[in-house]
Amino acid sequence: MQAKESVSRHRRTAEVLCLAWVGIVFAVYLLQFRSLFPHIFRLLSS
Amino acid sequence: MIPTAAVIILALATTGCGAAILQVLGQWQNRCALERAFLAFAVGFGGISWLLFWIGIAGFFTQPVIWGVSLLLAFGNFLHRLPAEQAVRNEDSAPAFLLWGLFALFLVALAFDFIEGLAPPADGDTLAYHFTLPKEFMREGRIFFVPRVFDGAIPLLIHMTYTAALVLGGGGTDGTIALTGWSFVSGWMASGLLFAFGLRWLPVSWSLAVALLFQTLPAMVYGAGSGQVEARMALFVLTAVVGLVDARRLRTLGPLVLVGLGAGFYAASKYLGLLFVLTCIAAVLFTGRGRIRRLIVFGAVTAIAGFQWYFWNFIHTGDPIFPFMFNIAEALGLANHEVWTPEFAADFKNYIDHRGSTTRELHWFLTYPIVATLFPVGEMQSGRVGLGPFFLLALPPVAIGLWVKRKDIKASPLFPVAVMIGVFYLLWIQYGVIPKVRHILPVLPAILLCMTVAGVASWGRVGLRPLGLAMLLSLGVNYGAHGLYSKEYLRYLATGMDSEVFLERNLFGYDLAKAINAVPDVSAVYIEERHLQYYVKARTFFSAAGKQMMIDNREGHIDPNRLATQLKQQNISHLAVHHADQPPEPRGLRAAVRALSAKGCLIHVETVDYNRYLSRTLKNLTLLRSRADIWRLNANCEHFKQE
Repeated sequence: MQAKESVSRHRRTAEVLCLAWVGIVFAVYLLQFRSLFPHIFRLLSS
Repeated sequence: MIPTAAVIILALATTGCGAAILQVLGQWQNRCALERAFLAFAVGFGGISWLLFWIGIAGFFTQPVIWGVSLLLAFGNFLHRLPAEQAVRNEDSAPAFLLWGLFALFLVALAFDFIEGLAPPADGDTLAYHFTLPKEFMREGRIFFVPRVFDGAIPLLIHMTYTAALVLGGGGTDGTIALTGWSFVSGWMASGLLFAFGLRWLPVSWSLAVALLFQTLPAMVYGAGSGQVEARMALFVLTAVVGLVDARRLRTLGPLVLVGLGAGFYAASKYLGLLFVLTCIAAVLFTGRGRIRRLIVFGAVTAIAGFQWYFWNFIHTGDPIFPFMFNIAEALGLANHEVWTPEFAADFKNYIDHRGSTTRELHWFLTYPIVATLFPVGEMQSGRVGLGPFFLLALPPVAIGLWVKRKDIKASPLFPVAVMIGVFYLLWIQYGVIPKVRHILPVLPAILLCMTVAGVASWGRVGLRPLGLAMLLSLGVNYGAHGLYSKEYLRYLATGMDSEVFLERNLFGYDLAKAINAVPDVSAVYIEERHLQYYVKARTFFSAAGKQMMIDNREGHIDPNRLATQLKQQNISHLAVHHADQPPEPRGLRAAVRALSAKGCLIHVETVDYNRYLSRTLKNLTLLRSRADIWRLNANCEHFKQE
């Protein structure tokens, strides 16, 4: 029972870490385009 | 009407040709209907292009011949009436609204690309040679050798279908619409095959998501609707993938012909395909016992499918991989010095060394994906037209999946595909010359498939939510970029904009093309803006300094008198060259133009001002003013009289 709970906790931790990775890397990915944002807004409003 | 008919008959001819090839090779049965339909297109796309090469060199690029051949090949579609296998149905836990949402996204992407297919082509590479060479082949009614590095003397398998579309459409505006329509159709087929093949492992929702992700990658958005070949070469890689998986699964030799066809067609489409052939050799070794027999089957089919363009190069230059094997051709006494010389080869080597220096160090094997995704350098062209974030985002769930299933990996039918991906990546980083991410686009469907299968399988589905989030965010970015990219096309359709106005807005320097077309008696024009060639009505000669020898226009090497002689030898009547705002470089083109003008050999016709930008979508990002002069070559000047 204890071993089962431990595996479940590990899985939960792994899932949270994976989600955190996705969030952080995605934010860094978007950052490279920050200089484009004003141009994109101008394009969308034209 | 004619362009629509041309696209339909070419699509039918392609699937018919593919179905016939698959039937003859014993690869038609034992597949579900959806998979074999898309596989038929993939194999037929290479097959019909292979056939068109012979028609082209025989000088039969005429409307009746191409229509006749297409109608004949279309009969192959009757093979679809043969019974197909039942499709595999994997359990799909995705809620119905998610499936409908993905289907809606599919329709949106399809609509964006369809609208692009209705507009005049405006992509630089496409207009420079992907569509211009077919235009020239059609004008001549045959294939002829273009002794120019990178965009002339190269494997042109895929360009054969472009030529067919243009010929079927009758050239002119109709031909162009047929060509863009064909780009739209052929640009979607790799995703179709990826979806159909992915169903072997994935539920419909994941398979559809993966196919959509691939279709909307920025590099695909930019390349699939235009004439870029990578989006279509993905068809050949997927053909090889199907062959590898089946060869491994069934432990028979038959499917290896698919690997050979895929590798051969890839090699016949781009020099980089030669690396893919080497890659497939490694992968074939992991498909089962009897390796020598397997390699012989693979090698024979690859050679038949891919040899023609290398042979074409060889008979014209003495170098099958012109000009990369020039030194060997020279040592063997085979080199054709009318096309290439040791002096040009030395200059070219310096150029290649410089271009390839970005990823020379060892660490790039590991750091390339990270740098290309998060901190791209210009040479990689991986920012706005890159691969999106999915590959990095999905790494942890994929790694977990691989770890959990580590004991089963070697037994997986996808294992030879994973070997193929790994070896190709290593070879590409080491020998790929120019590290543009677009160049690995053809193998991306294979990578996406393997990653998603691993991620979905991970540890009690622990990776599902992160993988789903990665997919969602990546699709969001892709669709945002696709929407921005399609804005001009939507405007074109919604406002009923004239084609000329569209081109003036979206093709820099189009005014120069119009000005050249308005000049009387232009028989051939020497041009520096390579993307304008498609819209210039007269024959064009692209300057391509250091990449061709017919007119030696390398800066610092130009002798005005020799230039004039070479221009006349090429029957050039006019030049459209950038204006010299500053004192020109000694022995440069502008200095030579000035000298020839002073001697009366060049007569100024007109100066044209135009805007220049690096991004069609975000034009205001880099907007520069440019100016070009149109000159007329005066055949009565003293220089020509003395000759």
